[in-house]
Amino acid sequence: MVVNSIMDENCDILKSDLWSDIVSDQRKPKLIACRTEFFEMTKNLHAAILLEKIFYWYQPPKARKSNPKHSRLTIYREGYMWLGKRRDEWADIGFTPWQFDTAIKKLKELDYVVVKNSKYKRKRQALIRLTDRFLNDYYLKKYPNKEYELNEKRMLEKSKLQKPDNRQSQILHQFRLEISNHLKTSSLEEDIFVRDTYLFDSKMPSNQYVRQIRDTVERLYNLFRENKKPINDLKEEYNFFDSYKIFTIQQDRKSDYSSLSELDQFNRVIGVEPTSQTRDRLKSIWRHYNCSEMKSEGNSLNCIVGIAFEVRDDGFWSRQGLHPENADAALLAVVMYYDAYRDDFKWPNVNEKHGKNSNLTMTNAEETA
Amino acid sequence: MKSCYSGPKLELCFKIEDVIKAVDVQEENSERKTDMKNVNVSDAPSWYVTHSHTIALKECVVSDVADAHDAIVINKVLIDIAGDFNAGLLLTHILRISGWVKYYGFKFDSWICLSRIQWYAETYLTPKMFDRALKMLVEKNLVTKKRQFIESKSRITIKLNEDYLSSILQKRDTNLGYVSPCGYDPW
Repeated sequence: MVVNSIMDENCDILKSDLWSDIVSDQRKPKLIACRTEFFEMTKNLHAAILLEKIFYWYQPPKARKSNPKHSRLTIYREGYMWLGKRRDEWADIGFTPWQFDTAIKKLKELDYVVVKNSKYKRKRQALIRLTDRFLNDYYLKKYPNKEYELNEKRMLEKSKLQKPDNRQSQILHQFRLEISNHLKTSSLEEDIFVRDTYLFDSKMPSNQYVRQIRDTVERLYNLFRENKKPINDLKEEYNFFDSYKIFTIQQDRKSDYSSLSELDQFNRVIGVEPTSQTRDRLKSIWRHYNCSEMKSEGNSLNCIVGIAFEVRDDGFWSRQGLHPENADAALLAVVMYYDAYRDDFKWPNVNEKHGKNSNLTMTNAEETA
Repeated sequence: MKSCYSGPKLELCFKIEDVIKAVDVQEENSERKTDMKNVNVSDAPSWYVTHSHTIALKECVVSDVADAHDAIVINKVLIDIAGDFNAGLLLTHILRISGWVKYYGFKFDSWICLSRIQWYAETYLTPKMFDRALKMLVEKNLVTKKRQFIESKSRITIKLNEDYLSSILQKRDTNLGYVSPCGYDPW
């Protein structure tokens, strides 16, 4: 009855005075709940609770729970979303500034968090962001049997991010011309890329990948050594059949070869001292495939073999998303390979597939040999 | 406070009489009792909740938040009252355990008797942090601490001062919300 006296009959609810009282009495959660998994990850109570609160801001709001990629965060800087909160504002949880400092220090040590100083309304504010490492650890903590799937997902994401550069492709073209001039072979690339070998591909399942590598290695081994026998004799020596191991054996046989530096090897192959431009170019290439993630395992010669498998694909040039410097490295690898087996090496018959144009390669290659 | 204990009642897997540790235990050690300083001398019956009882109570309380989600639960209101984060955490867990006991028919004051390591398993507070937090709660008269004989050992026991806590809540016009046992989902 009291309400009727205050309100008109046709009044909107939002305009009435009662509405403001109702909105002010909105219920807020009085509990702070922290996952025990976070405690196991950090091994510190305050750090775990701080991590929980940061994780809360990364989660989608209730209205948009269907889309997990829609977070509560609003600040966008340097390609990331950030959580902005002052040191005193963490008193909502009951943290003193000193407790906040120790907790965030612990999280920084674990590389779960990146913190950046900034200003908002003339006051210092810490911008906080979660890292890849946190995601990785928490995922494995939650699903311990899915380590393999996680690595595959990462590789897919990386391949999407990579884009071909026009500038690097121009450099690649120059480099190709340089090498072909030095070796006096106009169509070296054709000889390399015409082979119908299988290719290393990270998206395949593991069994299929091993089988394909085994086939390619057998074919290459027979091709370069002119030995028709398959490589089964070597299988017994090594339990896990790996392409790298073959080349390490051959490297041991020729000890002089391994003692030389990379640039000396190049001089030895070409027979002429390279210009300063090519020298710098070579240095950059070596630096590239020693530092890149794909070739981190093994020494430099093993790296080359890994790259050579990639480049020997027919669709390498047409495929998008691959780094063109890998092709440079592969060309160098082939040159070195040619040097290592100079005595036994013979160019394969390309006439059957490519007709008259490929005759040039045969003659030029024989001259160099 | 009533909201903490509302909900359907469940049957316990053990009798309530087993939980009671009568004063008779203390009388057996009367010789040692005289040497101790802070000893419970009153004739009123005292009730103890040890670690084994808490485990049994946890199994019965199906709808408890902390165990359902594998989480550490803290009440924000209790942090404000205690004046510190760690003290607030300890107070919530004391209230949680005493709430279970009351929910299953205890009428008298119940003393909680857990070691510092057992408290660590409950609250993830280290022994040093626990000592400091308990000291703060005792200073504010939210909790009474007493050294008593239990199972022929002198141990520290804790009791929640419910009347004092409820009076503070009445002054503030606040409610604790649902701590345990309830179906409240914090996420």
